[in-house]
Amino acid sequence: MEILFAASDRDLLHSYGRLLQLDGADVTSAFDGIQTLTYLESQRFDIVIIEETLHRVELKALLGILNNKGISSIVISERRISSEMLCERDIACSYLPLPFLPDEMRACLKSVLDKKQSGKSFAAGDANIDTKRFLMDGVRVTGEETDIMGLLSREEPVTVKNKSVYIDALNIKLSRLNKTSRIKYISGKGYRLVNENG
Amino acid sequence: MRMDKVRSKIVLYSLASVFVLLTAILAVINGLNFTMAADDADKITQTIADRHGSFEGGTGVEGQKKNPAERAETKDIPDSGDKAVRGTEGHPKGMGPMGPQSPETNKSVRYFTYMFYKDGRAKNIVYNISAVDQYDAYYWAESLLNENPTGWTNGTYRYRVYKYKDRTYVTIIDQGRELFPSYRILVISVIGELAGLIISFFVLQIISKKLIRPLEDADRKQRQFIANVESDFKLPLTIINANTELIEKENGVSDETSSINRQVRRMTSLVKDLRTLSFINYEGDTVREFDLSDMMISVIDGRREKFREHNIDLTMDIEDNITIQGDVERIRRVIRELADNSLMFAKSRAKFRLVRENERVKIIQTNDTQLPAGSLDIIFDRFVTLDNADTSDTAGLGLSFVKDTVKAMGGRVGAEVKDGEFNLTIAL
Repeated sequence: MEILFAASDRDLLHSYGRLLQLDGADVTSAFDGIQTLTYLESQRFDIVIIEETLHRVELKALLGILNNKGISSIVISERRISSEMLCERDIACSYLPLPFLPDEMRACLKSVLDKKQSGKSFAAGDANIDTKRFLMDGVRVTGEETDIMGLLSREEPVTVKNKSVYIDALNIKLSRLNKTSRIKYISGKGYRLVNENG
Repeated sequence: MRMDKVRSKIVLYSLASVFVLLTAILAVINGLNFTMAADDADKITQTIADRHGSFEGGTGVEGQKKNPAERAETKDIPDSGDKAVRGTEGHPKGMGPMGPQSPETNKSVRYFTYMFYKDGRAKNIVYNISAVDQYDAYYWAESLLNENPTGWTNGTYRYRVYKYKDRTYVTIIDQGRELFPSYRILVISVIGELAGLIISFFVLQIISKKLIRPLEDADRKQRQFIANVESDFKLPLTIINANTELIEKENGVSDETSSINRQVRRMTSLVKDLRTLSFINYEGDTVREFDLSDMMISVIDGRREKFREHNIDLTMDIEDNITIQGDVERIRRVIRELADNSLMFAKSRAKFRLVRENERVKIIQTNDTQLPAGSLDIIFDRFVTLDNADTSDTAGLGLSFVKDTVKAMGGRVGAEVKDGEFNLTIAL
């Protein structure tokens, strides 16, 4: 597994870089945006982990480049995850809010890489989810959102952490895509994908 | 925004104080003025009463025409009062050239007196007035026979009702000219007070801005500090977590690394509380329309299992399709806090209602709970946790957050305990 870890905090880079190396990954460290872009031009990576406040680059622009190249990304976020953040045009495959435990980082990495490698396309309501490319009818979605849509398509309980934020974001995206499907909470049944018109 | 409210309150309370003070002072001044005017008028009517209905004395209109010598022959007329009225012995004690008993008074006062016999007959003693005709004067005097001995009548007229032998006299004097300056002072007082309030308002606007600046700075620094501390703690905690694991991988688990893990967990909990405080202080701008009914059902019903574990019977009465404009995350947090509050304090029953009443949307939470005495006054304060085993891990910010969020939306929050039930009502 080739990982590019981009963070301006050297202690963060060192600690997690070392942990991931001990887990068997090949980790390249970048201290700022310029170095990150240089590495991206010259090497191939399976995934890029980016600290949200990485110096010398605009995060949205960097995520745009990664999405265009088809490279998966995880953003270590200082902010609360909000539905507005998730509805931007270019987003990461997953967001990891601070503070987190090493196991949470591992779980997030595994989730993203599993989807990248063996993700399938499926229909949920009148929306089409491409898990491998983290897209819903051409609109970027996070791994958590594809998980939620998958659970909903099978009418299983939604067990994703912070699900309310992701569900909110999904409803906004479904509305923007002019889809009739919406995610609603049904008392006694939990979240379900329903047709807005009936 | 909060400082604007503080500033508005300063201006409002200061203006209210100025208004109360000015009103009190001007009320006293004008009250004294009118009281003294009434006193002066009473002195005049008393003088007339002492002389049985007229300054010149006498029992009829003719009495006015008699010369002093002729009048002195009449039994009813004392012959000493004339001098006092005329002031021939100088100014008696308490009188002055402008006072009610000045020598000019008998010439300047416009008045009339009627005498009423027991059998109902009446006689006009003096008619020295132009504004009232004799016919009206008679009926006016008759109407005052059963009134208080003295008082104001018809605005600016002062009257006195008095008896002599078996007859009742009514004297009415016109004090319009004497009262005119008093009324003028009253009008000027009112205009002056209004002008004073307007000037005070503008002055307070300027002064309050300067007064509030240090408070604004302190408030901004406090919010910034809380946000910075919360933000600055998160990354170091994450790094400490990673380094502790690295040490354990390379050297094995030890008491020291276990201790580090415990302390990190404590600090992470503190960071969560700071995050809540930061969230409370954040005045978010992501407002949009959303389905509140759906949100309430998802948040509360999503905790149904927890209510069951706590043996609390959960009831929901949620009206469908209620949408509101607001910050989605903050409102969701408000509902979560209400649900968690119920989980902490309800004994066996918890009910949540969402209804639309007129133009407002109401969320009502009802628990069968026993709050400690006096706690209703403080439950919405920050960092208040009531005596309850389940509250040991909370920072006491939940209901404070609820109140701040609802107020920021222009809504109202209220709580009461009635028949052993705690009711919290939010009106949006």
